[in-house]
Amino acid sequence: MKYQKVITLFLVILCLVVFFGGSLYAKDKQVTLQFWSHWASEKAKREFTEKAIEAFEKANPNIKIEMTWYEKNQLMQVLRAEMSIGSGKPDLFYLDPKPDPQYGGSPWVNEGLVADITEYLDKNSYIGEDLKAWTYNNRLYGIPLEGGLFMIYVNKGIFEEAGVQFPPANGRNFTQEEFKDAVIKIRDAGYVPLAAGVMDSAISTDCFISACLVRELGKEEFEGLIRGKISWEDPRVLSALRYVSEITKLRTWPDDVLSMRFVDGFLMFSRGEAAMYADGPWMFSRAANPIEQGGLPGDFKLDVVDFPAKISGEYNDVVVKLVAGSWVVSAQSKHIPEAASFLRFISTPEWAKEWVKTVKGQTGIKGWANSEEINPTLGKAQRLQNQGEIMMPGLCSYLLTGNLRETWMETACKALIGGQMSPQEVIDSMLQYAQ
Amino acid sequence: MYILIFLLPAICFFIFFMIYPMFKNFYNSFFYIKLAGPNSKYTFVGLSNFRDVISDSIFWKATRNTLTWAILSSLVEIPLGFILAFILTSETKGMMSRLFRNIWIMSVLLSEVMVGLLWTWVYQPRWGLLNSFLNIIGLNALQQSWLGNPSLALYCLILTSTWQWTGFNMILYLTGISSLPPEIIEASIIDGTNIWQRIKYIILPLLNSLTFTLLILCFVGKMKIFGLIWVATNGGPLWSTETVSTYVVRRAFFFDSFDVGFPSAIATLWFLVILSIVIFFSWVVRKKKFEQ
Repeated sequence: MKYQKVITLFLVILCLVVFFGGSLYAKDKQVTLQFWSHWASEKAKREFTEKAIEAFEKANPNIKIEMTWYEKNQLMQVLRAEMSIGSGKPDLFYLDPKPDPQYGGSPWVNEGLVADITEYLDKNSYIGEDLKAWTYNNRLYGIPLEGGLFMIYVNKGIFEEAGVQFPPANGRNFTQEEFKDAVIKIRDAGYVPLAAGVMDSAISTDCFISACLVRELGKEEFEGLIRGKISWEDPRVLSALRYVSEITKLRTWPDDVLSMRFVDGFLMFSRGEAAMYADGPWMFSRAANPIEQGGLPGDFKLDVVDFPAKISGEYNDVVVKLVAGSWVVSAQSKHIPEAASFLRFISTPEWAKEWVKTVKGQTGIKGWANSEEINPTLGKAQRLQNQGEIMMPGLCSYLLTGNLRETWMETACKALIGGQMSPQEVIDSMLQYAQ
Repeated sequence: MYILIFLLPAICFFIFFMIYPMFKNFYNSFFYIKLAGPNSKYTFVGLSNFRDVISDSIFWKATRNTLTWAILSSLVEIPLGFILAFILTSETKGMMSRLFRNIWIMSVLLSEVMVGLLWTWVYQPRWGLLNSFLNIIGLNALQQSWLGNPSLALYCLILTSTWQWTGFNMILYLTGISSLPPEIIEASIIDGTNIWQRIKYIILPLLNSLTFTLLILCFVGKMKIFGLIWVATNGGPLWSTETVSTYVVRRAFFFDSFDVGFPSAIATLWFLVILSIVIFFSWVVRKKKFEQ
């Protein structure tokens, strides 16, 4: 009897050790990755990401990904705080590739906060031009997930109502004079010609003004301006800013553009209060949100055009392309190979097609060809891109740094389009900080 | 010993969340720092950060805005608080007095973020309360984008903070006026003084200490203002509402740089400025008390 009790007790203890010890052992083998990303309010991108994570976890049962969604500004603050204490979290995170590597590069990469993942990825999985945004000295630091053109999105219904001919005569873009005429007609019809909100982020006005600079200078000399080889006092810079000032006087932008937020500009367009909206490739996924979250209604007549062409200009075919939302691995992560394996997992033609299908936007991952069948407007954007001379990236806010960038955003992208500053005053402000 | 034990949590909190960050910030301002966890680099640069701060035109814009705010607020909030308190004690009684007191104190209970959001809607150019009111009374010519105009945005926000904090001054003045010796007031009435003479020669002098205290609180409080601006205008347009606090946060978290030495230098400089002002005010108060 006594021996039976001892044996029973021994067996119970053995079971407990095997059970808990086994669990602990399994836990040691189980890797949990922390993934923090922007796009908290973008349903389509969240759907894509969650689908990708589910498929990845199924294919890799020993790896679990815990997702946390943020809006971009909050994410950047939280990341800085977390990395400054070196907590090792997160393993994967969202990052914009700015400034471009050719213009100094992202401080996140330069400060060693983003892991070199070259050995874990196949460079041939990505579109060459797009991959440059994450290539530093031939080493790869991120994947170009979201990419595409900056364009002017158009509400064809308002154009019809205002009596403005659409599409433009050349099928690609209005001339600068035609654009002015369109603005006048649209205002007379009671609509805002070009929606924008610049209080928190002036990217939608920056893309328009940067495009005006590109029309004047072309690719190489625009680059020269950014690098300081061409002065901000160049007459072509003044000419570009003068055009912006002229259309400002025609009330192209909302009257309260300076006190509207970036998202207010988009909502103005999606609610049918404005005829046009200048933005990047993420517009399509935002448009796909439910209407109550700012998406476009089903009967919205959406189309796209390139930025206005300069009459007799040489650079009217230059299109501004950009790699935007990307995913990177933290250099402080304790699971760099596992984190990089997730990025490798989605860098396939199947997942590229899934991105285009779900998000309705372009991607830098190879494997998607024709987006026309998914979204005719997206297909048209792709055609504009293929017919033009691509300039990557052609946005001052993605290329300038420090006080020069802050001055550009405050003076050109806000004060100039708000009618608070003249073109010469903008140039004088830029000269203060220019090299 | 028991006193020490009971005070220990408060002392620890004070040391870890106030004293340590203050000294750490002061220390950081002499370095070029790249905070990157275990790879953080501290490079001693001496006074270089302070020189960069002093030569930064945006810092001076922020300083001018902050001082304008602090001075204007003090000149408006405190007298307005006194006037309201005086009216409540002399002209209104009972329930009416309590009602107005509660209405005015409600704004103090709101957070700066809520106040910022509320007044953003008031100042909204298309459908905001202010422009709608101007439309109703036939003053359409005065309608504009209040927070989008660099000449007006700062004063609009000063008005907002005045609306929020006048109630606080009013409550303290109410207490002060209520605690004045009634026999002095009665004696002055018997002597034939009018209301202005009573205010100028009796009530205000007796409330001097309270006024100085409110002046210090108002001035120093506005020197650190942040939440209202961040929500309403984000420091724009054209840095017209940028204050030192918002500029520190912008340089620390939103610039293309991980160096926290520069924003630490701004914060250290501003701390010294505020400390000097507080010491000056305290010296003035002590001198006045000594003279009395």
